Amino acid sequence: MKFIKRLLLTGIKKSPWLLHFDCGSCNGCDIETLAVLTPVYDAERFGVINVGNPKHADIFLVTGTVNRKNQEILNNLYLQIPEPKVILAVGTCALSGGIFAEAPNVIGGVDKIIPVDIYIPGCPPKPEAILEGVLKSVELLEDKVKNGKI
Amino acid sequence: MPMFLKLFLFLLSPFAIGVILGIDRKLTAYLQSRIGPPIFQPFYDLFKLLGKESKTSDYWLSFCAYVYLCGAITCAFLFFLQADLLLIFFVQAVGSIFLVLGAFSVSSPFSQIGGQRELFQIIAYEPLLIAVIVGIYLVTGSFEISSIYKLNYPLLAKLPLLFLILTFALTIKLRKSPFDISASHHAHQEIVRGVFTEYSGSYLAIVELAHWFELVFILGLISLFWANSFFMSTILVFLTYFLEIIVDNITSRLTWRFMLKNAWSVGIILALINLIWLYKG
Amino acid sequence: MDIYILTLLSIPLLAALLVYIVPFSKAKYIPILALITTSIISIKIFNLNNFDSQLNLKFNYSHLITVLDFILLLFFIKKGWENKDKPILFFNISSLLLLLFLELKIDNSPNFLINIDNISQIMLLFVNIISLFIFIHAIPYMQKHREHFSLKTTSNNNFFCILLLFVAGMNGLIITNHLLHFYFFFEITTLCSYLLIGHDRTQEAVANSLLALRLNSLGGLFFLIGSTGLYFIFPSVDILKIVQKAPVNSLFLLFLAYICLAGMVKSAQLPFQKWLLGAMVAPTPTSALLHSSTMVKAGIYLLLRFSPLFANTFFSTTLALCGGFTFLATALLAIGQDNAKKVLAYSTISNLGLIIACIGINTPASITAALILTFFHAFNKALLFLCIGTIEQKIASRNLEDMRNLYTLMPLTAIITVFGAIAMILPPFGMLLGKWMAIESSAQNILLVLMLALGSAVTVLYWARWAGLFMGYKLREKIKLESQSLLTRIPLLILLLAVFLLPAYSPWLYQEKIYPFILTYSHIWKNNLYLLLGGSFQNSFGSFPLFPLFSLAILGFFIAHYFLLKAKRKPLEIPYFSGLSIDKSSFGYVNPLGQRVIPKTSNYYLLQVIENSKLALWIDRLSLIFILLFLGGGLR
Ligand code: SF4
Repeated sequence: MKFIKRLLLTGIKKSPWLLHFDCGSCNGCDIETLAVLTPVYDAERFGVINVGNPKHADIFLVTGTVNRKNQEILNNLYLQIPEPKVILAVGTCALSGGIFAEAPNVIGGVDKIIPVDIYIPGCPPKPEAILEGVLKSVELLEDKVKNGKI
Repeated sequence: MPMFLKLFLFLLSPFAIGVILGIDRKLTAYLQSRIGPPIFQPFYDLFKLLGKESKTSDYWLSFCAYVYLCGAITCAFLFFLQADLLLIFFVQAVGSIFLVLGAFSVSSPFSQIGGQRELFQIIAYEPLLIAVIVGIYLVTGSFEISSIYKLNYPLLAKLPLLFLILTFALTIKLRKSPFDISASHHAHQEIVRGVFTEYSGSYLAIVELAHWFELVFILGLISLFWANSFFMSTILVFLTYFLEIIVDNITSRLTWRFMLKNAWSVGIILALINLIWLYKG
Repeated sequence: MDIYILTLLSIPLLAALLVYIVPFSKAKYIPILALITTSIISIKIFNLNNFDSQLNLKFNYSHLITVLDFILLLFFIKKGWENKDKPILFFNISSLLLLLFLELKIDNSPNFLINIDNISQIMLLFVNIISLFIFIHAIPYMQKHREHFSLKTTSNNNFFCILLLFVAGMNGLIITNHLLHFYFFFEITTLCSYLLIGHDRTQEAVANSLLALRLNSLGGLFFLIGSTGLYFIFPSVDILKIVQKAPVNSLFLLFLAYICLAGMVKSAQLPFQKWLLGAMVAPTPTSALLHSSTMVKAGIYLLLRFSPLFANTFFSTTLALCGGFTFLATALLAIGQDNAKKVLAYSTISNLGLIIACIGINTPASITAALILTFFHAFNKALLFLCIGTIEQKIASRNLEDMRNLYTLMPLTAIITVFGAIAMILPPFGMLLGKWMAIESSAQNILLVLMLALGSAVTVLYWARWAGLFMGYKLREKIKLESQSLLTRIPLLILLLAVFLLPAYSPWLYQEKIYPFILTYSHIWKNNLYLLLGGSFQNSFGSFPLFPLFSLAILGFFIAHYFLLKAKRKPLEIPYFSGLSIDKSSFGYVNPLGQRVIPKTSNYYLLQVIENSKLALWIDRLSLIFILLFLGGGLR
């Protein structure tokens, strides 16, 4: 049993799959996020794959503000990610609403709708910062597995 | 080969496939001038998926995933028993059909379209594989794998065109570009993950594992083309797979119409030519 | 033995008479009783091992049959006249003249009128048993059907009466040893088919029944041409004697080709397939009984009977090519169909093509394949037709797309249908066993084997699609077992069991019936007979470990089922649809106009690629070429 748990732990540590959701960003954060996957930063070194499907994801990376139209989508996607999962808010917008906070349709940061584990500030954050966030979330994932959250 | 050795090889085979897939990813990364994941990455993925919660959108998914696994294991096992090739092929079909059935049972359009396309993939490669098997029969006079090992020349010498067709079928079966039609690794925007969309968590792991066992059969089929020397058959498998990776990286996806048309016209004609050589020769 | 045969023929006839006279409400169970009797007798006959396979009844009924034969032809002519249908008139008048000529000419009658060998045993068994279940299913079906159509002109009495007549005719056809008696029973099946297709009296039904009559009369004419020719070369009407003693020369093969052609018309091979497709307008019991599981097997039976004659000839190869072409072409046509019954019809034709290809290959292995396919196809198709019949009455549509998510509405029937479809394509079930044998034994003929390879892939496509369609269900909707009459449910369940368990019986079927049959012609069918070793079929080029596979399949099923039950403990989630959803239970979205949009999916029917009318035209042309090749295949 212990051995199996060890295997699972290594698995979760080394293969965090990432779902990237553009919640209403100006695309600045998205470009930086995608840059993480390019040869320069190559997130796949750490086993990170950008999946297009919440059902396969471990890390939920959200950029941009939440507005009234997409809050439900955000929530749905969040619900569809199987446990254990970590939510990453990338960019000032995702943290608080940023420069769009005053807009009438904007609700605010991502954490107004779903619980956020890791905040990465910046407008946009540097790819290094995003990568570090992803690696931080791997540790969180590991903790979750250790604490028996699966 | 003694029985226990066969059993041992059979138990070893999924690990070998895992490593091959790991090398695949590493090489692909290399071709894209990236560093790429560790070689054991496929295993990590598998373990992780096994530990995850599965979000079921239809109970049939679990049934189908496990039937797929059982079918694939049986298929690989029969291969190591050196049973009847055609039979192994039909057992292999059980798995691939159930994968599609699982995708069909969910009403999500992504998995539905993926399922339909996967069916097209199946009808594209099935005739080709049967043609290859028939070609092997015409050379050895038997459908049993054991008879191939009795030959003292490589099958490749007699079946060059059929080997070509086999690699064609392999690309389709592996869902590698340009035939990553039903479930691509890259084009997430289009049909998400096609047939695999709704398999999540441990079901995805099961499906993945089953796919490894299927690969045992397909790569095994390739190794048969140089069966009289163990060394050469390994080289052949690796060479073919390497080519597969290169093709994967330098081509872009084609439509299923193109795939079906070519598999059915070019593929069948080449097969026919090679079979005629054997028949008259 | 005498008494068995007498009951086999007379009980259905008596029952038919009774059903005709007594009002339906009272006569409801008469057909079933009659068929239970015949089924028991057929099982008894099946279990006999050493018996006089050739015998005569106490009285000679040849004259009776001759008279009835003429009456039948006159009836057809009358129908042709009434409907101003020139082909029917022409075919039947020529048949009448030929028959008259033959009857005057023939001076010897066979020593034995009846010949029961191993294949007749198998045929008798499945014809009677399947008929029984279809009849049981037909009782509630026809009641509803009648209410639905408010039929006045024809009654259900009539319907069951004809079905019973058909069973008697089929039994007669299987046991007879007299060429012209065979012809008579052949025409009886034509008659029944004609009457049953036209049963609803709608315009379409009448037109299609006439089409069936036209083509089948052509088949009958072919049969008479063939037998006249054969009689001139080898003056005998004793089928067994012809098969054993006749000199096989090119002229003989030419006439034999006509007889085979008659069989192919009855089995709706290309290019004579139209009538079977049209026949799908008939009520489902008719389609199930006549047009899929039993009557179309009459053609196969005819070919099987004569198959030893043309073993190892080019003629036989051309027959195989015709069959293989039908297998491939109709499977292609089936892809483009969204009418469930049409898909079944095409698949029937396709499978019959495969069987004919097997007969054409004409080796012991392929004859085994043909017999195994015939046997299992009958059960499997009967099951699928009954399922579709049940579904069709519930949802009032035959369109496959309307059957999407059927599991919500009628879980049991849907699952039975799914299993029926799976049994058509996957090991270790009977159909695949047959297909495996077919491909292995055809491997010497590369053109044929490629056709079979393509055809079998396409077959997989349309069956897998079919199975997937029925499996889906709507989320969060309470699924409970549908209520249906026991008379509907029992046949479905029993046939399902048969489809699933009979493959395990196939080694015995082979050992006790098929193997001895092949041995009787051991001078022709010599090499590569399948041997049974530890429950696996083996010959010199392949082996099919049936029992190990079967046990593995059962094991796999239970493993998967365990996990299915485990999965059921958790609630369902909505499927992925880009995060969009209307409410908790359905995915989809609300569009700017406030309408709820739920995405719909439908099968690819490949209509642009294989545009049905154009493809059908080309297939017809090509098949004509193949038929022509076949006709002259015996000339040298
Ligand atoms: S944080 Fe800055 S870059 Fe990122 S979405 Fe907001 S405005 Fe754009």
